[in-house]
Amino acid sequence: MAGAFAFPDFFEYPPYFTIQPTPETQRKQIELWKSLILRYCQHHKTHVLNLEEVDHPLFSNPRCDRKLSLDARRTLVDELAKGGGAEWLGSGRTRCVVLWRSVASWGEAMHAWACELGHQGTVVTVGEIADSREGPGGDFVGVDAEIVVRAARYLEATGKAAVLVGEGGDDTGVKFL
Amino acid sequence: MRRRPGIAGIHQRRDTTAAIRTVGEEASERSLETMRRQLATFRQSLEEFALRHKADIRRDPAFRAQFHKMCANCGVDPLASNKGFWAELLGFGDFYYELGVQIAEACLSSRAENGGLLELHDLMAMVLKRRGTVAAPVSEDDVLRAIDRLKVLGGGWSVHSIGGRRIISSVPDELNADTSEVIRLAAGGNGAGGGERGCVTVTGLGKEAGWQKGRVEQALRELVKRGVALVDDGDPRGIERLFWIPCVSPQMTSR
Repeated sequence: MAGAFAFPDFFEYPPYFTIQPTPETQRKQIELWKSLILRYCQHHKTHVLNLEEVDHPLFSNPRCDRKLSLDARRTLVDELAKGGGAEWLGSGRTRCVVLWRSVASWGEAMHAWACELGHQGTVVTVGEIADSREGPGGDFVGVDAEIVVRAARYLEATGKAAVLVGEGGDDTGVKFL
Repeated sequence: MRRRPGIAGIHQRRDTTAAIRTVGEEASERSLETMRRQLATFRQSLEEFALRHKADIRRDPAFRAQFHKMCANCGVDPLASNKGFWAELLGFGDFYYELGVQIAEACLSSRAENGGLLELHDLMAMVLKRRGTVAAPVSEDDVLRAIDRLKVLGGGWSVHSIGGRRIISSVPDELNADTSEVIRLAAGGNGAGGGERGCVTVTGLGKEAGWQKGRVEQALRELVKRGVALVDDGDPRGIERLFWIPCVSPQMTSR
């Protein structure tokens, strides 16, 4: 677990937990929340958020007794997704992956990880990559499978890997080239 | 025998009036001259004073405020131009210009959060943060003077006195009597059920101000539209919508 995270001032102010009706105010509010979500997830190396977790410390503040509603959380993730900062998982709009680094940047990190460990030319499953505790370190160690899948697709598109989908669908492999 | 007015008498009277007028003119000319001389002496002393205490005026905000008061009393505006004797002597031009820029930056950067209204203390805190620790210290008096300079540029700078607080507005929209009253009641913690500062409700305001619901809602709608008030539907007591006014909310001040 990482050290204490410094929440911004607005997190202590009750109205910021209600999506504001005035456009300019709302724009600023969403800007502040987006940046908080990215910073928070980066600090805690969180990749997947479950919006239905009512008392999630990112969305609720017991000090001022406020929490964001599920609708408000969805609005924020939608906004984050517009800029590539998040992607919905599934169709229920309750879980999302937070991309505090771009998919391309994760792809490069994964490629560096594979080269370091000599995985070139071999097939490694997504699960093995996500569970790996070895390698050059940095953010990539302990990364979520959702990130691994996206990074692998990026590497495939740039010709640095091939994605091999297993029959069961859950043992997707990555062949580093 | 009735005495008729003679030519000589008329002449005499005319001469006397003329003589009196001349004497009068001379006298007022003399006193004017004396006053001019006194004022000139006064200004000269002021200039000498300024020269002697130049360093203190620049360094000490309280001393500077006193000096401004003295200048105002004898009709000198050391900030009137950037090129005049005063500006050059004291380097005031740059000082207030720089301060003005810092004030404008602080107000603009926080506008989306407070609708362009900032309490003087908060503005001070933001300005001091921008200036850093090495810059010459500034007082509220300096900040208000710099805002006076900014007014010349237009853009709607104004300073409102609301319930003993000075609220700086950096937007052209005027505060009317009702919206000012809402801010005043919010600042005093008298506009909401919970008595929290910076927070009001329709019911609480109606009770405190003695207004009909429609009038309260109209004022609040106006403040929300301008970004001066924020809505809050997350009160766990859940009775009614809360309205928060950042420029007088302790949570949002002195950052």
